[in-house]
Amino acid sequence: MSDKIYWKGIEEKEQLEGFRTLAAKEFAEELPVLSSITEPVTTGKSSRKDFLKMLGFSTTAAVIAASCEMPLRKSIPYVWRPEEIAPGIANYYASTFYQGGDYEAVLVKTREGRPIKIEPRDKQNARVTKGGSSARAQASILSLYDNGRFRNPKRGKENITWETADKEIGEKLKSLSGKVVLFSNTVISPSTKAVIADFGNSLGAGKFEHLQYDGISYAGILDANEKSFGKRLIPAYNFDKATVIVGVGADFLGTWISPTEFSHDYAVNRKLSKEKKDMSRHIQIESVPTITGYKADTRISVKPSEELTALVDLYNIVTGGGSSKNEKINKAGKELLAAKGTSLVVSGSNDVNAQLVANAINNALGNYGTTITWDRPYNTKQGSDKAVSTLIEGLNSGSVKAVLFYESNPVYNSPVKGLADALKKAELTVSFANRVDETAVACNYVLPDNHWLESWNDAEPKAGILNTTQPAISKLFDTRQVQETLLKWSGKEGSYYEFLKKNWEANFYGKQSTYNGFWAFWDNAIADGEVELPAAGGASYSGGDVAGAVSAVSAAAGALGNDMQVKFYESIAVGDGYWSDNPYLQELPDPVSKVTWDNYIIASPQWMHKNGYNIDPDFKAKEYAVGKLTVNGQSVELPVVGVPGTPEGVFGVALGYGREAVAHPELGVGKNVFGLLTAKDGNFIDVAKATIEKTGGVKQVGITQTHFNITLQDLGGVKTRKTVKETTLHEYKQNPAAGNEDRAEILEESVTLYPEHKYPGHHWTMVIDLNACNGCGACVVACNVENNVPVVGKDQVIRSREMHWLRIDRYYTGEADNPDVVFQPMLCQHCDNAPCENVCPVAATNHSSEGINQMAYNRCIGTRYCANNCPYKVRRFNWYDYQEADAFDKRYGTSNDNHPNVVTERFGLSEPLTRMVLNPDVTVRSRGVMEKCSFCVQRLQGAKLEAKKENRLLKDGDAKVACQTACATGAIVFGDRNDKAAEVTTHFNDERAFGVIEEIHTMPNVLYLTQVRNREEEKNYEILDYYHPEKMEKKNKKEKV
Amino acid sequence: MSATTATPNKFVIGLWDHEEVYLHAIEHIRAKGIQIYDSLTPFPVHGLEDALGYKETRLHTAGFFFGATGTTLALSFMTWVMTTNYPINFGGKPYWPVPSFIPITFELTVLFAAWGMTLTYLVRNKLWPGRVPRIYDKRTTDDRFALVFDAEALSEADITSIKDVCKKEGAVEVKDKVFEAGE
Amino acid sequence: MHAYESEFREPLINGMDKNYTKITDDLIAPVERNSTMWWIATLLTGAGSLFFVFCLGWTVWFGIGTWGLNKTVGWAWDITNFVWWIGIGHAGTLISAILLLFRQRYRTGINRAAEAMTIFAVICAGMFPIFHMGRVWDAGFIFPLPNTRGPLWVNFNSPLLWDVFAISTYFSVSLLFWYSGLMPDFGTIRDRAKGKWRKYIYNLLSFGWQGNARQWQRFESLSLVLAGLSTPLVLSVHTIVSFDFATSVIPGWHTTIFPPYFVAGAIFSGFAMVETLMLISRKLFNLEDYITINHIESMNKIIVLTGSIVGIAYLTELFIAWYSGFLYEQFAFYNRILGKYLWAYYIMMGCNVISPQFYWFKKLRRNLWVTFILSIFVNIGMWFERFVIIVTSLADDYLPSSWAYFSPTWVDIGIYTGSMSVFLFLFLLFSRFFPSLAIAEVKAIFRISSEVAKAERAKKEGATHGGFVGMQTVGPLDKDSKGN
Repeated sequence: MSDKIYWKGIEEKEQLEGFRTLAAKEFAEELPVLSSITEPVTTGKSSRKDFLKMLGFSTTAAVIAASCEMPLRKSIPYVWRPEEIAPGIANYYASTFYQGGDYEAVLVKTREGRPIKIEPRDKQNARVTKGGSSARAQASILSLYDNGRFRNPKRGKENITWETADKEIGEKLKSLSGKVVLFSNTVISPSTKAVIADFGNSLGAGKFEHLQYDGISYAGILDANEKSFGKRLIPAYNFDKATVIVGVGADFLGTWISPTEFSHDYAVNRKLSKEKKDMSRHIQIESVPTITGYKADTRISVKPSEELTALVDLYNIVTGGGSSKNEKINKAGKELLAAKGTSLVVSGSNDVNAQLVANAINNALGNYGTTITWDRPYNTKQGSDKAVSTLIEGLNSGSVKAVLFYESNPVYNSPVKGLADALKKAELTVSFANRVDETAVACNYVLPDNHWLESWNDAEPKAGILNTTQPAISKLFDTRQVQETLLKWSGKEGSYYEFLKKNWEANFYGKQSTYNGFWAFWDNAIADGEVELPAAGGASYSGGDVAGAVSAVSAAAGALGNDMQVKFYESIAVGDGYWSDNPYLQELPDPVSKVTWDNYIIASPQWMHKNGYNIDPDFKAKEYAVGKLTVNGQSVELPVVGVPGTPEGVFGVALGYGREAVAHPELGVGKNVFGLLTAKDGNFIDVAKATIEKTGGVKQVGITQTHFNITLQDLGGVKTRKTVKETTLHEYKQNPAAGNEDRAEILEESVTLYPEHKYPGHHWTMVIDLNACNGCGACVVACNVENNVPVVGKDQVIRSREMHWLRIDRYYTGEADNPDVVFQPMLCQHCDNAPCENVCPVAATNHSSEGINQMAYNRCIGTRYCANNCPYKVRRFNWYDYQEADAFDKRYGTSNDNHPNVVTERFGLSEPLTRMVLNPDVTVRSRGVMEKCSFCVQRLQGAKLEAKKENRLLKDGDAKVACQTACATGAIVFGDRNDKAAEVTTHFNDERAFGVIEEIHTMPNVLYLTQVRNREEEKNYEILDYYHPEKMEKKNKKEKV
Repeated sequence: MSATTATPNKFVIGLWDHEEVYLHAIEHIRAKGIQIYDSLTPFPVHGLEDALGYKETRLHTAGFFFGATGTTLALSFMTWVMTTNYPINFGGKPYWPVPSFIPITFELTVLFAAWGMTLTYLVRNKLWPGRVPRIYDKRTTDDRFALVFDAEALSEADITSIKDVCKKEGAVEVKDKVFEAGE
Repeated sequence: MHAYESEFREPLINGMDKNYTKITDDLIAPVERNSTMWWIATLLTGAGSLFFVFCLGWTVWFGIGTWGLNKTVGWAWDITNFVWWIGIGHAGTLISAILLLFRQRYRTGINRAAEAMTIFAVICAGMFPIFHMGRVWDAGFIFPLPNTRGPLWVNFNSPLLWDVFAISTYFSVSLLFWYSGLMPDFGTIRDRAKGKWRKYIYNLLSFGWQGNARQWQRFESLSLVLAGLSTPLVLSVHTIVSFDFATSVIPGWHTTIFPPYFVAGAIFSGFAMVETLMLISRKLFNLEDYITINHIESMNKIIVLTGSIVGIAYLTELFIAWYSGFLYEQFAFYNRILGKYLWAYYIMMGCNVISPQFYWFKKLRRNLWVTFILSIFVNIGMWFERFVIIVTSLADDYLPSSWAYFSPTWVDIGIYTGSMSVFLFLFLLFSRFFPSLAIAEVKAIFRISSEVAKAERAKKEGATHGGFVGMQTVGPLDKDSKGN
């Protein structure tokens, strides 16, 4: 052990030297040094040690680089003038995130030229994502420092230089007899499309084809729109304009098309205030529960087949021809009719006919032009499910001789089998992947693309809304941007940056009138990251064979039978598998099931109860019974996890797990179920008939919230704990404090002998609107990245040791078979009477003069008394040296099923490369230290410093915490409640505001606003005891009587 | 004790085997005006100090003052730290949380009293590691009760008379003991 | 002079052959005799102690993560063991101090060993708060030492800090009490010693004790005042330990009943542990004449008393929880009785409340085997009491979202069993090299409460006692007065 530390010491020493030499001689006369960083750091026989040296080197070098426009060309920071890059001061670069089919308008926060955080762009420059962010975008920063990244071009296993690669491939392309196929996911960059086109032309007519394929397919809706509108595109959905929303199996708040945007728009119409006492009505008809369904005012729990029939029923109702067996659906239909023109029906099905019916419904309701508009359709989903089979046929028939894979991993995420074998037939297979994936493994060349943070690019997520991507760091490895490569191969001179500029000048500059002079236009485009061009026309509804579609849908529903059905869904965390190599996302608890690091079979607790699966896991080890799920011949074995709201006999399994080619074995958790999707007229359908049987085995699942019996009915129906409070819109209109009546009493009763402390300066406060929060988890990941919160790995999560400072609690209320759900972000409540502070023997945690409960890490001796005495259990202890903050043993000293050895390698953000993501403003906590939410005190201090420099008082909104900035719905409001004008102050004084367990007089500085549901029927808001379903059933019967 | 200033080396020792007899012996011997140099017993014999006419020890009084020191030290130090030297807001408690001081104040009182007294006890009893005492007779820590008479200044006649008295008073053994100076 | 004792009391020193010489011989015998039994036991417990050290080393090397703790249950076996050992450590001082003040003569038979037990138990207890720290190398922070951080002192509001003062005070005062009593006996051993070195060492240990009237006078005064100090001290220590929980906000911890309830529990477990050890050593070193059934019975009476107090405390807790109408409190206790740790709760109830009730029957009270088995039961029960209080309260507190379950790892188990070895190891060393009964004090009661003395007095029945001063009273003849 000791000598290992010794060597580590050496490395650090030398790395430091790298810094020192540079720090010593800065700027101009040293510029020649830059040549060495434009040199890839991993060429030659350089060891890991040298590589580290160069990392330290490139970091500092990037500072200089950015300041003298050398490798980054002309890049204009968002807030700061380039020459102002000073150590310790963050620079923000407007850029655009488009990865794995997710688009987001972002700012890249860099420190000393090192990107460390992705922030959403302000609304005015984020016309699509509207200042919101997603967990995936937040976590994506880690992929820049991913150990799985290719560090240079490869032929098979062997490393080659770009010269060799260009030469060999260039020759091959000339000599090829057959077609060249560029296989990618949807490309939304106009300039990249141009590059691809040019490359195609350079190969000659008929010699090139560009196939687009999306792992999560939207082919159904695209084809449907082609039929009804003549455009194979997806129109814009305006949830903010809708008063009645009916979602049919469409998780539009979590994963569907543009969730970040939809979450924002949806929330606009869900928030309540003194001025705005009305909200939209949301009915969700779905089988496998999603956060969208859980947020709905009325959730109609049906089987996947009934999702289809529901569409038909709705169509019949709105067109005045018939009704549904399900009363709730009839009611929904009536409500839609009542809200013609301001209603909205969305279907998540990938069945063309289903989407045709959905279009027909919306048309009948006159929603086109109001809640659905064609002026700015989405470009983000254009893939065709036929692409893979087309490719395979081409390869087998020999017509396709070369395949280039760009941002696509069909070998993993295509239900069609045999691609890997077919690729062997090709003469040339190239993958441009920058991280290891299954397709890259199957190709004979890997020509790694730059990471998007190292690249120039543009993007057009919606028609006429143009975004720019600019590099935020000099490239870390010997990689080359795909566009550059293609330009080279098509014999073009000049860099992609030049091409980009020309392309914009030629195609976009003319279309706008704001700026005159291209440079002004271009500079602003890059500084703002976005320009808006006039909307490009619309489309008119041409119907198509609706009657045929209706009968086809009914047939499809019938085909699913009436017994057990399965639905394969996209998980919020890992999407189509593109993200499953991201530790942050793997450790993000699924909002619905609270499971991390795995996929599993979702089932109804009642069903499990009847069929002898343990509903609540054996909480001792979080062990779940394993079930064998069989879908037309193929089967998969996964643990069965109960999720209330799932209809009996319905099962759900998440796509995107079970990756084989990943950097760390722990990232390959779960099983790949893409193979179980069924093809229906060319499109992949995510629902199917299924059978399930108990294997008798059990599996540990890293679930972060298990369900114990929490009500006290056994003790004569004592009232349940009021952790969350909710009411209905009807009640709210009568009394704004509805559901929160007991608070007045509580505040009255909290009296004290001691005089209370005064907070004359700032008094930091947070208010979270439970009505707006949809539990998506973006805030959790944002917090992790901002505050260097360690990733601990599956084993530790199973041991209930996840380190998240901010978690999202999920509570069920109402009936066991179809409960209401409340999501409650839970973080340090910064109590003014903090129980944790009193008990720390060494005064390591105490109260700041601004009402913040603060931790002095280097004073903490780790007695854990504070964590024990925290009523909210938000304090986290460093059980191991998770983040290599100290020279401790890097292994776990315990064993369990996942780690049979007594001592096992630690998994975390501890490798030198991944540590580059750490935020230098936040201490990396050492082993044996307690940590918790600090209200992003580093941001508050920064903001205060700014105000001071500008010699003014702090304005509301100057200081924003990480979770708040990430939140798409604006559910989290933070500020100084001594500032009467501050938004947070009004919320703080709102009748809906309440603190959690205030009755013990902790005086929290975090308050919540009651959840309000827009519906008449009352429900008993007891937190659900679904640990005993049989008891709940009895209870429900009693109520009915 | 002995009137002579310099430590005597020549002694007469009487040994008893029953504390009751021993106690009466002391009374009678002292009544005769014979100086008893020292008396050794294997365990604390009740009433021995009265029989020998010793004054009550002031050890416990010392103990009280040691305790008082502890109390004041604890209270004043904690007050200074919490209110003057570095006042910190702990969980909304006042800077001078008197109730919180009670336990530590009490403990320090006891600590000081106990240690102070014990150290005084050791000093006054001339007890410290490595001290080599004069053993007049090995069995005084076992089963014999001894009276020691300073024979330095006494004439042979007096010595014999003392011996006789002891025998008369039930001593099971009477003997001479001479130490070398400095032993 | 000598207080008089009713003839109806059973003697505390049995055997007609006894006299001062005999007493000395008997009591010092273990120190002078060599025994193979002792060697085996010592080697075994020595090995166990090494394993204890190994487990602590493992913890420090890899981290607290090697224990079964999690984000919700931050304390489990560590603090359970701490409180358990501290409780055990209470008997010694209690016996020497309180029984001294109450003039309970039977203390002389057991106080020395009990005090030694206290010292060793507190040593074991001390290990846990130290090694449960995440950063034990910074343990020095808990002392209010001048430093460069502001200067940053400690937080005098923290019960954990009170513990530091309470435990260290308790330890050092017990040590003084114990050692001041040992000096005269070391003197005795010295004066019997054959070898030069043996003489030298025991003289060193005896601080040069002589045993003259002055020394005895001050000795008496010292032990009386130390007793007076220790009595409130021994009560304060477990009170303060209970503050760790009582002053917190966690349901099941936040209870004003804790101080008396913890103290009673401490005496309860302490006496049980004394019995366990005394029963063994009185056999091992044939001290049956000095540690008599009478001694055992008196202790059993205290056990049934404190056991019942503890039982009442448990029931009171339940009643108050129901009566409070405070949901979280109610749930905490509902959860103890019917929750996921109910087995622990019932072990606790069985061992602590049911088992001591057997001692209402004189037969059982005076039966060595029953006493031995029950004394072990009691300590199992008391361990579970602390486990129930600490773990069940933490595992399910206010927010259901963060509820979790604790199960120990081999390291937890190793440290606990290891600490028992350490305790026994030290006790064995003690009983071999130190006089495990207070020789001088036993002699002091010889004339009062020995079989011999009683026989003598019986002979002189009716006659006026030559030298004897003291009133002659005849206690009531009913059986109950026996052994009181």
